[in-house]
Amino acid sequence: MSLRRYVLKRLLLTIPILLGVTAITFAMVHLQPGDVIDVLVGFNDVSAETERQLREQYNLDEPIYVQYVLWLRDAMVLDFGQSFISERSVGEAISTRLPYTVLLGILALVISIAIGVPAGIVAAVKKGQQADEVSRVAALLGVATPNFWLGLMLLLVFSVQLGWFRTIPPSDVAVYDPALLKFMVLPAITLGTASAALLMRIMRSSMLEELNKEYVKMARAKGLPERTVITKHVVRNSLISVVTVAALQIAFIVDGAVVIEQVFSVRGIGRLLLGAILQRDFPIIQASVLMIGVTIVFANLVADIIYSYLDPRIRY
Amino acid sequence: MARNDSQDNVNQNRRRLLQAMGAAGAAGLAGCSGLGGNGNGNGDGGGLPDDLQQQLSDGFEEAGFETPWEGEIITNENPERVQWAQVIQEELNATEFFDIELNQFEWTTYVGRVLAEDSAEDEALVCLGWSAGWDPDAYIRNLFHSDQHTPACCNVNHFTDEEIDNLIDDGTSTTDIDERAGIYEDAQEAIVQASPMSFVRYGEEIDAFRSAAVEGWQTYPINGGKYYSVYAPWAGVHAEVTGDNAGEEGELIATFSADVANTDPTEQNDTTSTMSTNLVYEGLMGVDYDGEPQMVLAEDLEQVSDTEYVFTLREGVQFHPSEEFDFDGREMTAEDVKFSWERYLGTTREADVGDWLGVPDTPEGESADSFEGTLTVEDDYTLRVELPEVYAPFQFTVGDGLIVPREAGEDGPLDLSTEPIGTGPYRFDDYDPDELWRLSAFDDHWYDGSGDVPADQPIETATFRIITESSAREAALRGGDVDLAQPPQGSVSALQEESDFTVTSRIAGGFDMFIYPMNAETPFQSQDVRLAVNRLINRPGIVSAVYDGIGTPAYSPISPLAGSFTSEEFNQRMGDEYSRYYGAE
Repeated sequence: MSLRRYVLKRLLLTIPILLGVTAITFAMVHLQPGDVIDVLVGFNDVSAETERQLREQYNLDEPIYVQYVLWLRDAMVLDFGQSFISERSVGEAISTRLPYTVLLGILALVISIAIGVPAGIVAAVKKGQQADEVSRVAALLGVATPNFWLGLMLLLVFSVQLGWFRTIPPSDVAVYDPALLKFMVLPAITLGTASAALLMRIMRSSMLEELNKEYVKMARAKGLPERTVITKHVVRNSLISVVTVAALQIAFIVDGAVVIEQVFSVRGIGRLLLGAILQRDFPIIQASVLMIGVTIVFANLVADIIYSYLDPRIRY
Repeated sequence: MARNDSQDNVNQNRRRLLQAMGAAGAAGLAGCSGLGGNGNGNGDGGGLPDDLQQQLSDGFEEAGFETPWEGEIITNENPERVQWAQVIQEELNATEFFDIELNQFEWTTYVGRVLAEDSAEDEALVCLGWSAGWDPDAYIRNLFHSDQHTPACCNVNHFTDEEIDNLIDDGTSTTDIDERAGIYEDAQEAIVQASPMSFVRYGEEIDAFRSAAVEGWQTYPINGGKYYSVYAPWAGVHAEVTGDNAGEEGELIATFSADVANTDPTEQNDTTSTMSTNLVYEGLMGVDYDGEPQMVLAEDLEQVSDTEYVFTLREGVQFHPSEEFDFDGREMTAEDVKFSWERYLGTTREADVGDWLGVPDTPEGESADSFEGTLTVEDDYTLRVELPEVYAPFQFTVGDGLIVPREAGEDGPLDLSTEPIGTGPYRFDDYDPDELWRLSAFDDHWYDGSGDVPADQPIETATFRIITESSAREAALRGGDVDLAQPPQGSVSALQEESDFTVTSRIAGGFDMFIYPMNAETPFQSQDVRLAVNRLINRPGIVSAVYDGIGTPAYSPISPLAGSFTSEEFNQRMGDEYSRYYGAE
């Protein structure tokens, strides 16, 4: 199968996956206790008639599967409706916030790779030595530190005490504005460290595995300098498993963004989603989760494509 | 929107409960040890004084329950509320009478349960907060009057007492202040005696700002009116920013703890939304920082009879222009006032006007088409108001009906939920959802500088950054990115000690409460049990350990903020007579 056909097949497969994701979210949101009508009327006691009208207005009077089909029908043409609470367009709410979360996610991924991969290589090469031990402890700390706490600590030290960064994002600036990019460094570090720790451990073990293989002995035997052996052969082969994990990390990063965006007051999808869940604002929850689902599915697809580049033997 | 009952106050007053549920912060758990059952070392109930032990035994016998009674305390996820619930739980479980669990719920779920129609059959002990204001009626009617049983409003355990109902009704139909004060004293004592709930603590309204950046800031004790302090010539209050402020020249940067949900005064259901338009909309009157009613858009008020008032409006009051809606602004007249008040009918904020103008009874499923009282426009600047019955707090509450231009009517061009347009000293400037809310000074504001406050607003721009996390708000204040914020309760004392920051605070209009399931199948059917448990609540300990000393132990419902009707001394007396913590003996 050619790569093109494989990608096409994978793209087709995303359809049932996204259907599943949205259907499950839909069901879960409707199963949670608490009623959006209560939130809408501020928990006031309204007449049955008013309540009926409100339910009708938002299609909440239909059976749940009909509601889902109606939502799906509109979502197909990217019409996500209006927020129940603010009555603003959901599509607009998502599109104004998405760039912030994407920026945060990319920076976090870059940081986790930039730290994780080289540290993993060093740990593997210096196996059993001090550098390896240090990296082991650092990785443990990185995984074990709740990013909420880490975010607050970074904020206190680097923003409040040292004054190197702002404590809240600059307002009235574009997403690519240097001031915003600078501000995003701390949230990205917070978000990237746990992933960096994991990547580092994966990189290390996968390097160690490769280092024991015959072809490495062969390369060494034919007199290649150790540096070339590591960079040209071992690292490249070890990266395959790392790429898988890195792609999966995107899911963790999206996850973490919900918390980090609270701590650093970033107006991203995570903050939008959290607020919507608390208010039972279904249209926003649905659209945000769909967005996150799409991101993760595509991240995995990209990982598969990178495989075939890294290892020409892989054919789909 | 219609209602299926005739009780006034319902809508607005449920909001009072909800406002008080939101606040969150981080307090040190460590402070809790040494409290409650632990503090007294009475792990087996043997430490209870004999009279308390006897009272509980009698009560259990009367209600027909075996000991220990297995039950639950429920609360939402507000950290301080959870902590004081734990303190009470420990104290109860330290006696031989109770075996109580503590369960926390997410906010919407919790409110749904507590305010459900069958809430009185729920056997759980409920932890809640209540917020009210300057007038005593708002502290007791919705919680204790028998026509306020859920789902009408917030009488959660369906407490019913005819004498108390009468006192509450007399309270609003008596205009003489001293007479009213007497009524509320009687009502409070009757409520404390009947003990349908225990009052735990009066809260405090707190602001913290950078000393070098802000001058003249005063804390308004009612949360929803927090930002009057920027510029309120009618109250003789204004603030200034210095050159060391966080933003541009003349810009104050403050914070909101949630996004702005709605800017139409008849649709605002949350405190942040109300705060966002504090400086945009005005009423005919307002209540100043000392609790005195003051004229705002009205120049004069003449009381013709017990139920009839004539307002003379200020001349030259201008509405804000709007580019978005192609509205040039124009002078406000009495027709706008009539329009604005009538607009409240059938909305979630109906009670803001309906409390005094009266909402007629309607059959189930139908909504009223007019208020009971009449509004007569005599000329552009004269409005006659006839109330359906005597309403003593009229001057305190008439200002809740905010004035908007007639063009905001159904066929008009203005949509106030997109852009708020009023007569206030600041007009809407900018809004980025989840990011910021910005107001800028309105040059044509009516105030001419005749009082202590300067004629031009010293603060040109008021920017509110939306920061949901309380510790992030504190960091933003400390990092100098905002000038003013509401810090987490646990950080207040630290900020107070630093000269870089100034903390201002006032006792607030509200209290924390612990509601007994007195009409469900529980031992709390017995008044003896309720009164005894009332004495198991270590209020001073809760204030100092859970709230870091912020607030005042509450033994009676009406906050000392309503100073003409109650006092700290009265509250203390209620504590000594009915609620004194047994451990203090």
